[in-house]
Amino acid sequence: MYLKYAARHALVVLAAVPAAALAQSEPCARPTSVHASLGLSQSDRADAAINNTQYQGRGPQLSVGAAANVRSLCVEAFATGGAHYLRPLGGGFGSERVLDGRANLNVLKPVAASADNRATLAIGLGAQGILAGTKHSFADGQNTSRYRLGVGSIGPAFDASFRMLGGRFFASGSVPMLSIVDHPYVAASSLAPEGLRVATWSSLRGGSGHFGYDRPLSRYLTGMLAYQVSGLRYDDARPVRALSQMLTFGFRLTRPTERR
Amino acid sequence: MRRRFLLGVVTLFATACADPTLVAPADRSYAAMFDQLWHETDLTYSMFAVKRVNWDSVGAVYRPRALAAQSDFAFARVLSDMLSSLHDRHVSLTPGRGAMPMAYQAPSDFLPLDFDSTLIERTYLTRRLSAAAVPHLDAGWLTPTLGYIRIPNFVGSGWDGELDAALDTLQGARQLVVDLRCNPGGNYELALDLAGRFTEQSTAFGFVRIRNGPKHDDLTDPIAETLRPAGRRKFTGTVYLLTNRRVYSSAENFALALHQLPNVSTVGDTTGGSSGRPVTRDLANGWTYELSTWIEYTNDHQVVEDHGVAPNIFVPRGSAVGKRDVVLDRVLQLAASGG
Repeated sequence: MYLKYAARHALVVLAAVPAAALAQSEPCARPTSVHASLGLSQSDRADAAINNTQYQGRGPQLSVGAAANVRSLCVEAFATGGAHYLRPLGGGFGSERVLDGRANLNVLKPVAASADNRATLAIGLGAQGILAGTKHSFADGQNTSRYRLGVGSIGPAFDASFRMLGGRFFASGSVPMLSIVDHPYVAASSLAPEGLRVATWSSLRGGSGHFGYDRPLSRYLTGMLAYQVSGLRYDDARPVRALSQMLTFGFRLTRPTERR
Repeated sequence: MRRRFLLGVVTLFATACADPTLVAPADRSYAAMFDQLWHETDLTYSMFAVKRVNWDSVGAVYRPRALAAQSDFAFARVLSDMLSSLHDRHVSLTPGRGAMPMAYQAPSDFLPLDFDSTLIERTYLTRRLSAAAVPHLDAGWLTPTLGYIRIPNFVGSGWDGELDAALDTLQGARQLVVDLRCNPGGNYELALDLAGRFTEQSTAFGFVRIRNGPKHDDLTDPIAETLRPAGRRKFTGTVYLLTNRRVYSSAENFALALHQLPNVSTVGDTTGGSSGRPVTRDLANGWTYELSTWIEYTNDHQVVEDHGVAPNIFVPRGSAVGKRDVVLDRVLQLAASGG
């Protein structure tokens, strides 16, 4: 219900505003700007440190970010977080409350652009941090345990955009190649140690993607509709599978001198 | 073009609402659930070496019985019997919401009861604190200078301030009896918060090694357990800590911590010897089970599990049926003589 409501209003806003000419063009897909989005996300998780069942839930999601053109590099940073109440899929038992957040920092170099900058592509390095705290309520209705998963990773990243329909379609993503994972073997407690491990692509696979459409609403304000997806497959003695999807609507405030 | 755009957005929404499959759905056959329990215990339980149990052999013995079970009750009995082979009071199976946990019972659980709290209330306490003021404690005066506080359990959290209130009322006491007998344990952090009322400096009282990998001997390096001062009220006079064979788990942590303090004498019998820091796990059919995840040691490297914490002053077991509490009588003698 909430999803439909958000989508309907997002479309109305985006369609109602007349297309504004995209002014100055730059090699970076995003102008120097800050943005904030609110939306709905769906979290699917299966953490064997807790149990072997897949839990799923939806909840509100907040994203904030910034982009800057620094010399010849495009620097993009964003963070997103949300709270979810998860129930087991397939008739399982128990429930989970998850508080999670993700932060990305991408440093990209423009590598290709059409003559009029209608299409751009930048590639570079991305750093990502993920932190998830889970409170698992067991089927007995009495016991709860707390678990956590932390991942810090670096890997290749890209950002591409294509202007059309009076706005701009964009896609960005990053893939972790080398990670440090904090995934305690047993439930978190006052004495439980950190479970820090270094993980390469062979044991931690995943990626995050950000796809959307934005369109100028006024001279400095741009409306954004985006779909973000983040997946994680971590294999150790207690494997983790996680998939987060979110649909957000928000605004970007562009610095006047770099208005696009 | 606009239609295509709308179509794209609808596709986006549909994708966002899909139910991805990350792991295979749970199998609820007896064979699958037995294997799940056996495997998780193999991965999680911390004291195979302490208990000298060959878990592979245990699995081989019980698996055919589990598969032959004719009912959920019979199946639960097989699983419980298998877990009982670990001889660990912290290992249990709860076969369904609201069901009684099926747990191993130690020999000390079958000893005749040697403690009667009502005997103390009737015979020894001259003035009792209001139960409304300290609902989790039983406190009062044994003599004009000897206070008494009984802690029946460490269940729950957030009531450590009651001990401050009790110590406020007993502030004229020069000596204090802390009666831990028949305390089955509860919340580790609460136990240490309460113990922190009896010291003004941090004291290492033991260490633990926590299971941290798939092999049975994958355990952390020793992690020190530290008793830290806590609460607004401290009692640093002479403390007589009473223990018996039915002091378990977090109550043993409490006893072990106070045992290190120079102002504390432990009196009575050795504690039950059950320290495991259990975690709960789910079975596919909604049953839950608990497994120990650590090995706790005293400062002199003695495993607490199965050994307990021995008192400074051993008092042979008395009878709860008698008219006197032999342990408390001994404490009264010690207190009178300043011992």
